[in-house]
This record gives sequence, structure tokens and C-alpha cells, in this order.
Amino acid sequence: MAMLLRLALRNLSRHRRRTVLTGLTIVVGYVLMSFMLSLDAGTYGAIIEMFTGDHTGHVQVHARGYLDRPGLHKTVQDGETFGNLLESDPRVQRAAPRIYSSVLAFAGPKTTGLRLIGIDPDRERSTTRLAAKVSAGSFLPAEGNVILLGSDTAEVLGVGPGNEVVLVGQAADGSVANDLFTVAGLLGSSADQSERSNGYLPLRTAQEFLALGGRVHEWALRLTHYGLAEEVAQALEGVLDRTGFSGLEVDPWQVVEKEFTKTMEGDRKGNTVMQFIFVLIVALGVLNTVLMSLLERTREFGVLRSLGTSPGLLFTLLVLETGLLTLGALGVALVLAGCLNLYFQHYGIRYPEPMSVAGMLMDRMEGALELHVFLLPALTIFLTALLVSLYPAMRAATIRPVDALRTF
Amino acid sequence: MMGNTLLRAEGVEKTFRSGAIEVQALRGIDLDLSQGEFAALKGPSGSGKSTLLHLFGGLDLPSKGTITLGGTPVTSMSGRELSDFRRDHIGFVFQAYNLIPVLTVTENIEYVMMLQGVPREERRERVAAILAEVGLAGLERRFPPQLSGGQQQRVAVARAIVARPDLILADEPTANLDSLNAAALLELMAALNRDHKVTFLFSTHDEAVFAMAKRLITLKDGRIEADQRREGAA
Repeated sequence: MAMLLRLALRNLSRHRRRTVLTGLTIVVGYVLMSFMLSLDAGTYGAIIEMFTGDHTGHVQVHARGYLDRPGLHKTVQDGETFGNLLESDPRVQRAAPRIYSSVLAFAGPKTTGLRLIGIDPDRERSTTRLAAKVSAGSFLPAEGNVILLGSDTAEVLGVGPGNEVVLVGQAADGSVANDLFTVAGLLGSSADQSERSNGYLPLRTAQEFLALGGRVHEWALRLTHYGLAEEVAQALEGVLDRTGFSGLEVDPWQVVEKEFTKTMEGDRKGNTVMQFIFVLIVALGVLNTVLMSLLERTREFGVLRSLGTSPGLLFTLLVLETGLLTLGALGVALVLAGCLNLYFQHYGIRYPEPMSVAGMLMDRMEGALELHVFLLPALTIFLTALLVSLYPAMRAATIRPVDALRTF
Repeated sequence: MMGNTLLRAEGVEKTFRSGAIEVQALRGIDLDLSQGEFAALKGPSGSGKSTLLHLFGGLDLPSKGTITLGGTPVTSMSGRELSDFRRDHIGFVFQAYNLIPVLTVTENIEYVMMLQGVPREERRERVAAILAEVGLAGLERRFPPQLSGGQQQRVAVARAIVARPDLILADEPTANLDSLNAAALLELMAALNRDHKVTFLFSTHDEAVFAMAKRLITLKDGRIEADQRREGAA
């Protein structure tokens, strides 16, 4: 094996310029692939964090069927015990309960439809960024007849913090729910579409207003990382089933926000095509080198075979040469890609104009230093290089020594 | 006459085909070669000398007939078995030296021993001894392109002999050498034959080789035309 390794390394250094050029193809292919993956992970990661952190959370728990067809009576258990059960998984950072209903809001002669959301202010604060979106007044207290309004709704109603609004809707017991609420604060700006027509009440107040007792419509969970959503959802469904909470469904953000996920995946597929092109360029570069080597060294292979080198050993030699060349180039590429991705993780690429994503303004694309960003292109390129070397290696191994010795 | 038949060819024929064209290179060769012979194949170009060497060395298979080496039939071996056969029983010396350019003199010589699984220490000892014998001591770390033609051919002979094969097949070994180097190489091979009883079979046009050969086999049109044993040669 030592001799084989020596032969492979010296054969690579025999045509330095060709080896360097092929190595450069691999380096450029790897760096571009890794950079694209890094930007993809960083940018989509930021978008997903923004999107899920804004309201959705990473995982949601509902009564079965609520997500497809919401209803006032499709409720889930409320209370600390249930919240603690959801948070018993170490990957769950916080769980926040919510109630949803549609009501009419009145302020003097002005009226508008409102999506009423009851939240536990304390839990919501550490699950989503809602508290950070308060642009005027203050966030909700634990209870009381207070309401948070989206800025554009407040503008329609002509109210601000300290003013009163009347809400009228239908309660769960069939009665008409109506009450007077003081505006505690406003959310976002009037240009912010994400809080348009939303009104937030403290959970207890909303439960009383809608006669929902100790029930809620939704638990939104924040995890340690959005990428864990699917596995945590699956694990939690099992936990809930085992602890007697049947009839519930636990969905990751990918299911809750289907449209968003579909749009994002579509966009990512475009990147996959680019990555495939990079791999193809690398594959052709390596194939060219190995085929050139095969043609130039046919006589030498004949000599090796006539000395008693087995076909398997000759095959291994050629694949080893490709493997070593690829590994060497990948080593250099890893350092370069690491520096490039680190730079773009810190400084990103600024957009000429800020872009609105999920109601949040994004002003730059940024890189991410995740394992797959480095591992995936390395494995893809390494395996592709080995794969394209198989045919020439097989040709060399099965060559008839007497024919090979006749070539010049 | 020598005893101990090392190589036996019986009714060996070889036909090359290229599309519709058929060339019969060998037309029924019967030949015995004994242990320790120093024999040469002579004949004009196209008489079948190289083809016969290739068949004896297991580089190619005959179209008809059988070849046995030390009683083992070469003609029925698979590709892998032929590789092992060449590694363990045959040494080649080519006209164009055919050293591995990326290996040093030492590495070229020890290559076949590595394939044979000879331990490192023994390899080094055998390489040192053979280098001294072929007059190349001190050039161990040189690469083939750093050697003269004569030196390269000496390395090729050392490589062929160091693995202790039963038979060394030398295809026009002196063709690329000047007369001085050719004579020195022939003297070296004759000494190896004399001292170590190594069996040599040459294919050549070189009169100097004919002069030294103890047996001269003349080929013509794929047949043995004459087979002369000579006392006192080499």
C-alpha cells in the first residue's frame, strides 16, 4: 500500500500543471457550492426565523382538524400543566397558548372587522417577537380589559393608546360577546401588513369574553432550532398520545405555513440546479484528467501488468490518484470556503433596497456556518470524482499487457 | 544437453485478426527450454520472435497448442492467474527499458518483490546486492530519466533478476544501446547465467548476442527453422 500511495502521489506530481488545473476546478466548484449552500442556509434560516418568530412558532398543537377548518369549539387544554408537558422536551424552549375569533370593533362612529387573538403575555413574550413589535403604548398585562391593536387598524378606528374600543362577537356558549377595552398599545407601523386587522387580548380576558373557560385553540412552541421542528412534532405527538391527550395534532411550521414552505422550496430547487451544474463541471474536469492520464500511460500500465501487477491493484492505483487529488483540492477548498462563508456570515450582502419578508424588513443576505454547508459539497464532489474515475480505471485494469506494451 | 525441462511448448500457433485480415504469426512451435539455458531466438522481422516471447511470458495466449512452465500449464490460466504467474516466475527485459519513471532505481528494482510480499529488510538487502552486481551502486536514489540508456537497461536487468524468476525473457535488450554498453550488458547477463544459473531467452537481431548464446533458435515465417546448441559460448 505504501508503494501504491507513493506511485499515486508521484504520478500526480508528474504533470503538475494538469494536476493544479484539475485541483483548481475542484476548488472553485467546491467553494461556489459551499458558498451557495451557506447563503441558502443563512438567508433562508433568517427568513424562517423571522417568519416563525413573528407569530407561527416552530411547532403548533391544535385539536384535530383545526388547521384545515378552524372553529371556535375545536379547542385544546389550557393551563400550566399542559404547557409544562409540552416544555418537558429539552428541545422546546417555550410554549404559548392562543385563542382566535373574529369580532367587530367599534370606536365612536368607526367600525372594522378584527381578528381577535387571546395570548398569555408572559409566555408569548418568550415565544415570539410580538412584544418587540409594540410601537406605541405598552405590551399587554397578564389580565384586564386591555387590547393591543395593529397600527393600521388603530388608524382605521382613529384610536391610540389610552382610547377605548368596543368589541362585539359570538361567544362559545352561543351568547353575544361584547365588552369595552382600553387600547394598551399599537403594533408595528401602518405599513406593516403582518399585524393588519389583528387585536390581542390577555388570555384570561379573551377566555371570559368568548366563554371558553380553560380552553385554547392553539399552542405555539419555540424550539432551540427551527430545523428540529419535524422530529419534535413527531416526538410530541407520541408523548401526548401516551399521556392521554388524544385527538390532538402536532404540526411543524412546514405544515402550518404550507404556502410559505412551498414557495421557499421552489426557490431552493433553483439553487439545486446551479449546484448540479457545478458538480458537472468538476466531474468533467476530473474525467478529462483521468482519461488523459489513461491515454498517456497506457504503455506504463502494460509494463506494470507484465511485472505482475494485478488488475485490481492497477484499478486501485488510478482511483487512489483521483481520490488523493480530490482530497488535496478539497482541503484547500475547505479553508477558502470557510473564510468566505465566515466573512459573509458577519457582513452579508446588502440588498440595494430592504426587502419585506413576513412583515419584517430584510436588508441583507447572510451566510451560515453549518456542517452541511461544508460536508455536502465535499461528499458530492469526492464521490463524483471517484465515480468518474471508475470507468478509466476499469479500462486500465483490464487492458491486455501485450497490447499496452505496443503503444508509445 | 541440459537436464530439467523448464519450459515446454507443444504445437503453439498464434493468429492475429484485424477485421477480415488474418496473420498467422506462429505455425506450430514445439520447443523445450531447460533450466539454466542462455538461448537466443533469431530471425527476420515478422518471423514471430516477439510473439513467442509474449506467449512464454504469459502476456498473451496462443490460438492453439500448450505452453507449460515447470510443469504448470500457462495456456489455461485466467487473467489474474497470469498476473501472479508473471510476478512469480518471469522476468522481463524490454528493448525500451520500460522502467517506471516516477520510481527511483531502488523502488523500480524492489517493485516486483513488494508484489511478491518479500519483507522490507530482505528487499533492501537483495536490492543492495544486485545493484553492486550490475555496477549501479550509488545510483539508488536516481530516477530513470536521470540515468543513461545503458544504466537504465542494467536497472531493468536487476529488476528482472532480483525477484528470482524461473525464466528471464529479453526482447531486443541491446537494440537501444551503443556497442560498448551492449557488450557490458551481455557480459552481465552471461555472468548472471553462469553464477546464478538464471535461464535467459533472448529475441534479437544482435550478432553479439548470437555469439554469446549457448543455443540459437532460428525462426522463419512462424516456424522453427533451426535449433543449434553450441558448446563454449557465453
